[in-house]
Amino acid sequence: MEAKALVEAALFVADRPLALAQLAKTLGLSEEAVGRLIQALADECAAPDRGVELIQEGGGYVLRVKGELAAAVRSLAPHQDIPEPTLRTLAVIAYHAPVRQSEVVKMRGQRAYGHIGDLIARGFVAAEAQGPTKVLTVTPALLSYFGVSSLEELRAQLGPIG
Amino acid sequence: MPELELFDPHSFTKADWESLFRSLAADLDPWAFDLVELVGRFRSYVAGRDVEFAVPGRMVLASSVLLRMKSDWVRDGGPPPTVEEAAEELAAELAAEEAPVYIAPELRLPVRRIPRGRVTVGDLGRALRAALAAERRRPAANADLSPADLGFAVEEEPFIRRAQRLLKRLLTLVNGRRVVPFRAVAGGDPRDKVARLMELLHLDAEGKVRLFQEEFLGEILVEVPDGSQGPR
Repeated sequence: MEAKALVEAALFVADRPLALAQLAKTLGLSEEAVGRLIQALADECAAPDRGVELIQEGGGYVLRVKGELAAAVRSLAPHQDIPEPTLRTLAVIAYHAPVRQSEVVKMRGQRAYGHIGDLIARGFVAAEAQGPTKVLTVTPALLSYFGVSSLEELRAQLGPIG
Repeated sequence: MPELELFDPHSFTKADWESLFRSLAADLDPWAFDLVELVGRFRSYVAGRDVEFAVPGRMVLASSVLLRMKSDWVRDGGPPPTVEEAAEELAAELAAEEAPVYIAPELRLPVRRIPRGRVTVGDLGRALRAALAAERRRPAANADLSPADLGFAVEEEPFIRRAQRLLKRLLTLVNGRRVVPFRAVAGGDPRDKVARLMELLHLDAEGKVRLFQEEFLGEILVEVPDGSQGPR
C-alpha cells in the first residue's frame, strides 16, 4: 500500500488536526517518514490546480479547502469548521486582543472557558498568565487561517460592529 | 396439496436467528465491532447451507394471485372461487416461476469525512456582532423593570400578605369540623385557583392549615386548626 496515499487518506477523513506522532502510530510508520510524506503532499497540494491545502495547525496537520475557494463551496459543507459559540468567543478575543480571560468570560459567560480551551488547543489563541487570570491574544496560525498578515488587518475586515 | 405448505407461517419462524447471530458474533469485540467481519461470517454460513431465499418472494406471488382472483370475482359478480380452485391456480403459477437465488456482493463500507465549511472573515465579523448583541441583551434581561420602563405601575399584593388574608378568610368559613373544601376559596378563574392553591401550600408548609384529600384526585380539603391551638 502506498504510504503517501495512506497519509492523505488519514488527513482527509480526520475532523481535526492530526499530530505527527498520532499519524505515525495509526499508520504504522516512523515519524520521520510521515514528516517527509506530509511535506511531499503539501507541495503537491500547493499547485494552483489543486483545491485543498495541507497546513500545520495547532500542533497537527490538516487538509482543508484553500482560502480563496472557501466561499464558493461553503454551501456544500453546512457544518462549520469552528462551532458557532466558540466562533463568537474567538471573535470577541480577536476584536479586543490582547484581552484578559476574565473579561472574555464576563462578556461571553462561563462557557467561554471551554471555548478558550478549544481555541488554544487548535493553536488559534495564546494565553499568558497574568496574576489570577490570563491574557489572551491571537496567534499567527489564526491570522494565517483567515489569510491576513496582521491583527489590525483582521479587525479591519470584520466590518462594522454597531 | 403440498403447495399449501408454503403458506405455513411457522415455516418462517423455525430458524433461531438470534442464536445464529450470537454464535457468529460471540468472539467479536463489542467496542470495536467489525461489521464487515460479521457479514463475511454470515455469508460463509449461508454458503454452507441450502437456504431457500425464494420463500418470501413466493408469499408475495401467492398474495398477488389471491388478490387478483378476488378482484376478478368482484368485477364479474360471480361466485367466489373455492379453496381447491385457488390452490390449483396458485400451484400452476408457482410451477412456472423459477425464482433465482441472489447472493449479494461483498460489502465494503465507504469511509467518508463529514464536510466542514471553512470559516471566513465574514463569518467571524457576523459572530462578533452576534456576541456583542448577546452581551447587550444579558444585563437588560436581568434588570428589574421600573414602572417607568414598563409604562404602567405594577401593584401586586405581596404573596405572604395574600396568604395571610386567605387564612383569615378560611377562619371565617370553618364549620364544626373546621374543614373547608378548596372550591369554597378557589374562585372561578383558573389563575385564581392556582394562586389560591399556592397560598394554601404555603400555609400548609407554615403549619397554619392542613391540606388533604380523602380520595385520589378528589376534592382538596383544608383543615383549619382551632385558633386556640396555635400553629403546628
